[in-house]
Parts: sequence; structure tokens; C-alpha cells
Amino acid sequence: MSHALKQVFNKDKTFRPKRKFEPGTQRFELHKKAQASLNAGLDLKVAVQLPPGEEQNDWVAVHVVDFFNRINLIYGTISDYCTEQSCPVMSGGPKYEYRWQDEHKYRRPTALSAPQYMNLLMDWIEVQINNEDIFPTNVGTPFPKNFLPVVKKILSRLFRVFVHVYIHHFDRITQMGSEAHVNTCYKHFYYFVKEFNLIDTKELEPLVSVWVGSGT
Amino acid sequence: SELFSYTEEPELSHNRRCFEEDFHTQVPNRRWLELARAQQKAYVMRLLDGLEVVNRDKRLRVARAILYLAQGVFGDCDNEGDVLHWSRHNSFLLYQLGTFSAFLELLNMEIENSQACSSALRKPAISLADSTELRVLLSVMYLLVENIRVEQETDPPEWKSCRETFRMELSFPVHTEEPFALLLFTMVTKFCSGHAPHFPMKKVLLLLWKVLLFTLGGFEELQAMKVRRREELGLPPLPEDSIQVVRGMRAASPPTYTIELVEQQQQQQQQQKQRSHRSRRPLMKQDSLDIYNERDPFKNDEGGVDEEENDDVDSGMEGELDLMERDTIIPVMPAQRLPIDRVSFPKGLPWAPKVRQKDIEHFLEASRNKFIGFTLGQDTETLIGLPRPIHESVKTLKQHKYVSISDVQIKNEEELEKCPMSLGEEEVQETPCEVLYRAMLYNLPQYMIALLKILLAAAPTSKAKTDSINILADVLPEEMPITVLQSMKLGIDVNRHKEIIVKSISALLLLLLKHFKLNHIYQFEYVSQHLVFANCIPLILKFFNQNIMSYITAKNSISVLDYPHCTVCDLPELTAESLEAGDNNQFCWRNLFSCINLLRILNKLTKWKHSRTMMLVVFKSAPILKRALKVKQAMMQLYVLKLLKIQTKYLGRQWRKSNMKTMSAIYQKVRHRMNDDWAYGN
Repeated sequence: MSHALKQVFNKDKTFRPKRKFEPGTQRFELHKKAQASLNAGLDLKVAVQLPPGEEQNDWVAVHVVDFFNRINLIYGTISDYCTEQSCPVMSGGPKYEYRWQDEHKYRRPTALSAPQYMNLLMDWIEVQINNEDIFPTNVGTPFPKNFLPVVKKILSRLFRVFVHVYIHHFDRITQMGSEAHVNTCYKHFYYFVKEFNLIDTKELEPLVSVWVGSGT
Repeated sequence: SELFSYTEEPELSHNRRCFEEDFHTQVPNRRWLELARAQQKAYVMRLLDGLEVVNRDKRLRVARAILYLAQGVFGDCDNEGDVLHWSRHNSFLLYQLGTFSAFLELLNMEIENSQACSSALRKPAISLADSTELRVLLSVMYLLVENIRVEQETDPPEWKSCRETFRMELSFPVHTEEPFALLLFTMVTKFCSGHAPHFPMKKVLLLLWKVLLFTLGGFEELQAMKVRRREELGLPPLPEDSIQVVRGMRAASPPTYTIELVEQQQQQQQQQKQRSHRSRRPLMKQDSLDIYNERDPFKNDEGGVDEEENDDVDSGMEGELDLMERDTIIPVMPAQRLPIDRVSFPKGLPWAPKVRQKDIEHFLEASRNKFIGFTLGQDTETLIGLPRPIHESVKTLKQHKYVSISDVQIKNEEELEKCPMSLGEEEVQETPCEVLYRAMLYNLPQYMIALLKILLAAAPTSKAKTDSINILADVLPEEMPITVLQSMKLGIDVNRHKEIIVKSISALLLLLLKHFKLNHIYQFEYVSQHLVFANCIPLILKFFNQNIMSYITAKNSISVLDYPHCTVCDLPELTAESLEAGDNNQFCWRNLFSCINLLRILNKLTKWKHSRTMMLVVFKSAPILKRALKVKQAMMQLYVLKLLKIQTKYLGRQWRKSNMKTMSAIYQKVRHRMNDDWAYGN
């Protein structure tokens, strides 16, 4: 059981940094646009902290579901533009490429188009979330022992959605005028995963430059 | 002008002849317009006496003369304005002299006329000829009702009192008679039962609609009544005037599947994120009913459809009130001109959020369950033991609490039931609505079934053969058309006939539902239930399962033949080309009105009702409704979006992901309910 899980969570095979970092105009543009954000008067860094009296797993679980829903909608806003032709590979710029692996059809990490990857990703997460053994709905039922590793995998995969959207579809986001919205969602997500150490720094690399010097 | 079909046109001159023959014998060498009022009165009295003869044909001639008067003595008029003026003038005059009661008696006689019924039943094909008498009677009554109902600033005070008298006469039965509307309802059921296939339904329905408008009040009147009632009950005023808000709304561009559409770049949707209160509730899961992945089957046709349609349609719709179409002066229609190139978005959302008492209770229960472990029923005050953010949430929820009149009525009923002895009988106000409901109650299911039956038969997508009722009986001429031109004309007439029927039924059903709801929620529920039992929901969905754009832009009218234009102007030569070209309107206001009414009815039937909402899901209404969004009219879109909103949580993540434009439109245009999980699922 744990061996199979290890397969699924084998990061080395699904996440491949290709080359050394190459600063390009695209990164700079993104970074500029990251300044746009919704000033709702809320300090997100504080908001993600575990409140007194709250159980950590519970807190985490609610956020995971929430982020899943929101990121799903965000992807939805540009999904018409994310096609087999436009994104034949699930990538995050020239440097990063993601391959899909799961326990069913894709036992070996497979290069898929972005829309395919997204669909599989969302379906996979949904299955996890709807699984009562992992995400129990009854107030009394405890969370499983492997809850945090599962959550970590979910969140690092969700992160890839951000990567792809930012690197490949941000022009569309700008066209729609929703960059503040996406940025704020990302900020929230970022602070959250940082607060509870749910994603490795290495995985977060593709979007590091977005925040460099932005003062957040 | 919708009162008269094009096939009836020859009768107009017939009416005139009947009048003039008689008139000229009495008052030679004079015109009606020149007569003094007293003389006019005297003449009308004479005519009315003439109605009391035994001979049917003679009666009919007199009735025709009276109809000519009510129509506006067009023979003596030079232009349409004059015709309308005299029609109005004469209608008041006729009413004051008791014409309506006289015609009511005649109508009753005709309805009871079993001979006419049986001869009609024997005939293989019913035509206009079979309903001649009825049509004259109903036309006169319609003209009286409509002319007197509409208020104009230039009315003399005696006309105002005339109006009130007439309204009372129609609303409140004398002795043990029923309100007039009930007679019309009875005609409808009789027709549908097959016993009287010759009844001219279009006129009956139009008249019924106008009578209801007159006796109960239109939408603006309803709004005023609602505001008054809230005051009486001590409820806070409504957060906004819905009629005004909708008037100010702009249409959104429809969901597009292809990327390159000019409108898309111009309509940039700014998503305004509203602070949603994150309450710590136990984990809510999504329902993965991902059955709506399929692309819209009409998608591939879209390219072709767009090419055919004029740019006129896309460049905005304006409700132009045609002078001639007096029937269409209904309060409510917003005139929207959408400048495609300069779309500005309002700073905030158009509607204030609302919260029900129930919602606050549920929220507190869930929180208590989580943090404390036990619940306190319907208590919304005790907040001990709950964390501070919950306190804040409750405060915000309470700030937006909305108590509807229905809530108060329900509470009232509960209390009356609990203490029947001490509280005694409830005092019920005798309003026209109450009187009508009481009278309708006994046969209400039959009325609803009959109305829906006719609506179904008149829907554009229904096939005539399968119907047991023939709604075209009062538009088909005795002799079928021979030439191509005649066939085209009849075709247009038939379609127009059906459209008018749909319009009348949709309008009167909506009006009834709204009035009953205000009067008492349980009356509304009763009527709704019977509508639902009679399959109203699939019927309306079926109605929308057609090419909506072509329905809205249908040109089933020959404006030169419209009344009163056809009487005062020289008729040009009608050719096949001119018939095909139709009129100058960009769209068919009548059909748009019908569509909006049907959507509103559907909303009223399904709102807050889980089982009925699930019917929407099960009937796969989402793609049908989405297609209706193509019509760029804000009010119509609003009601479509409302219907989509109540379903979104059942449609699954995939649907939501692929329909972000629709989701955004819902967000922007539909009122938010706090704590409503519509966007995220179960």
C-alpha cells in the first residue's frame, strides 16, 4: 500500500526542471502584474494562521476544498484558450514540464497536453475530496494518519495550475481584467502552504520571481 | 390590433356597412363625429334596444354596428390617431349607457347556445364562420375593457369615475353572480373539454388577460401594493425597487464557444470579488454530477446562424411601442439600448444581498454543532461559546435579513392553527383578488390544465396533428387559400395568432401568480402546485427548446394589415416579397414579452423548492437555458441566470469550469444570498 502511494507521490518522476533559470521578459511582465491585487484590507499572512481552538487538520481540510473550488473556477475562465493546440504539453514556461501519473491509466509518468492534465488533475482531486476516509464530513470522525501527505500532494498539484495559468495564459487574464483576483487567490494559497509547510520550496520555484521585490 | 386577425379584415367593412345603413336611416347626411353628445347617446340607446330582438341575424347586425362604433368609426376618420381617439370616446359612451351588461347577457346566451355547439361539433373543419357572433361580442367587450382600463392624462373626471365603476362591476359580483373573469375561465375549460370547439380562444384569452389586468392591477400597481402591505405589516421597506433595477441593467454577452467574436473583446468582465464570509462549517462536499460535459448540440450551427442574422439583432434591442399596438402598453418592459462599443459596468452589484431567517438559524446550528456539540433549535440570539468570527458573521447575516410578506403570512397561519379558539376567525379583506380566488377555487385545477393545454398547442414547436383541440378555429377562413400569396398571408396570420395566444396565457398566468402570492402565500402555492401537476415545468422547458433567436426575431405581422392602419390608409399591393420582408422591427416584442413571462413563471414555480429544482436538472434544462442567454436583453437574461443559478451546484465541477462566462454573469446580475453555496456545490 505504501509502496503504491510512494509511486504516486514520486516527485522525481513527474516534476522535471529542464534547464537553468533564464530570466526573460515574460517573467518581468508577470512580476509587474503581480503588483495588482485586491486590497480587501485583510492581511492574508495573518489570516491563514491556525486560530486558537481550531484543529489543524480541520483548518487545512477546509482550505484545501476551498482552494480546489476557486482554482477550478479560475482555470475555467481561461479554459477555452487552453487547448490541445495551444498547450500540447503541461508546462510552466520553457523550464518546467509536468507529467501525469496515477494509479490507473498512467502508471508511468506521461506527457499530456495541458487540458488533459488539468482534467485528470481535477478529477483526481475530486475523488480524494469526496472520499470520506480521507476527508470525513462528520464532525466526530477523525482524519486518517496519512492526511497531511495526501494534502501535500493535492496542493503541489494545484500549484501547477497556477504555474500554467500564470506562464501561459496570463495575457488572457489581463484581458479579462481579473489579474487582481487571480493574484489575491495565489497570494492566499502561497501564504497558506508556507504557513503549514505543505509544498517544498523546490516545487514553488517556477513562480518565485513573480513575488521578488513585490514587497508582499 | 392583435385583437383582429388578418382573416377578419373583410369583416371590418361589413361592420361599417351595418352601422352606416342603420345610421343613415336615422340621421341622414351627418357623420357620427359631428353629432352632439346627446344625439350620440340617443342613437346608442336606440341601438341597444335593437339588441333585444329575437331574430339572431338582426341582433348580429346591431351588434356589428356597435362594434363599428367601438372600433372608432374609421370610415369617417382620416388617420389612425383619429380612429383611436374615437374608439376611446365611443367606448366610454357605450359603457355609460349600459352596453357592457347588454353584451354580457348576449354572451351568456351564445355560450349556452347548444345548437351552435352541436353544429360545430358535427363539422369536419371549423373555421371563422362558426364563431362569428362570439367574435363580435367579445371584440366589443375587449374594446370597452381596454379603452377604459388605460388611463390617460387628458381624461375628463367623469371618465375616471367611469373607470372605477367598471372596475368594480368586473371585480365584484352582484348578488350571487361570479366575477366576469370566471365566465371567461369557464369558456376556456369548455373549449378544452371539446364541447365547444368553435369558441374563439384568442379573443377569450386576450379579454381574460385584460380583465385581470384591469380588476387586479398591473405590475407597477402590484409593486405599490406590496410596498403598502409591508408597511401595514410593520416590515422594513424593500431594499430596492425591482422594476427600476431591472430597467437599468445591461445585457451580458452570451456564452461563446469560439474565441473570435467582436463583442467579446469589447465586453470585458471585471470580476468584483465580494467579501464572502468564511464560516467554519463542517466540510461540505461537491456532488459530482458531471453529466454536462457534452458540448451544446447547437454549437456547430452557431457559425451559420450568426451569418444569417442581421447585425440589427446584435446591436441592441429597443422596445419600441408601436402606436398601433395599444395592446402592448403593459408596464414593465425596460427599453434597453446597448451600445456595443461602450459598455460600462456598474460599480457595485445591482441587488442587495438577502438572508432568510431560516438561513441564520441553519448557520448557527451548524456552528453550534461544531464548536459546542449541541443545538438550540431556532434560537438566533445565544452566541455563547462560539468564536468571535462567528459572532461577526451572525451580525452581518442579520444586517441583511429579509422578511417577506409570505413569511409573515405563514407565521400568522401557524398561530391561527395553534389557537383556533382564542384568535377566532381571521379577518379577510374583500379585494378583487380574494373574490376571484374564491370563485376560481372550485375548478382551479381544470382552469390551469386547460390554459396549459392551449399554451402547448400554441407553442412553436408543437405539431398540430397530435392536438385534441384546434386553436386555429378562429383564424382559418371558410375557404382555404388558393394562391401562393394567400397561403403566405394565412401562414403569417396563423403564426401571429399562436404568438398572441402564447402572449396572453403567459401574461395572465404570471399576473395571477403574482397577485395570489401577495394576497396569500398559500393561495399561490395551491395554484403553483396545480400548474406543476399539469406539467408546466417541462412545458416551459420544451417551449425554450427551440431556436430562440428566430422566435424573438420572428416577423409574423403584416403591418399594413394591422388595425387600424388598414382602415384609413390605402392598401398597397401585397406581394410575396413584401410579405417575406415583414416589418421594420428588429425583433418581435410580443415574443420577447412571452419569453420573459414564461421564464418568470418558471422561476416562481421552482424557487426554494428542492424537488422542482431537481426537475430542472433532470430535464437537462441547462443547455436549453444557456441558449436562451443568446438573446441580449437584460431582463430575459436575468431570469435565465436565476434558473441556472439554482441548478449550478448540481451540475458538477466540469460544467462550472466550462461555463465560467455564465457563472460570471450570474455573479454580476443575480442577487446574492449570503451563505449560499451555489458556485461551489453541494
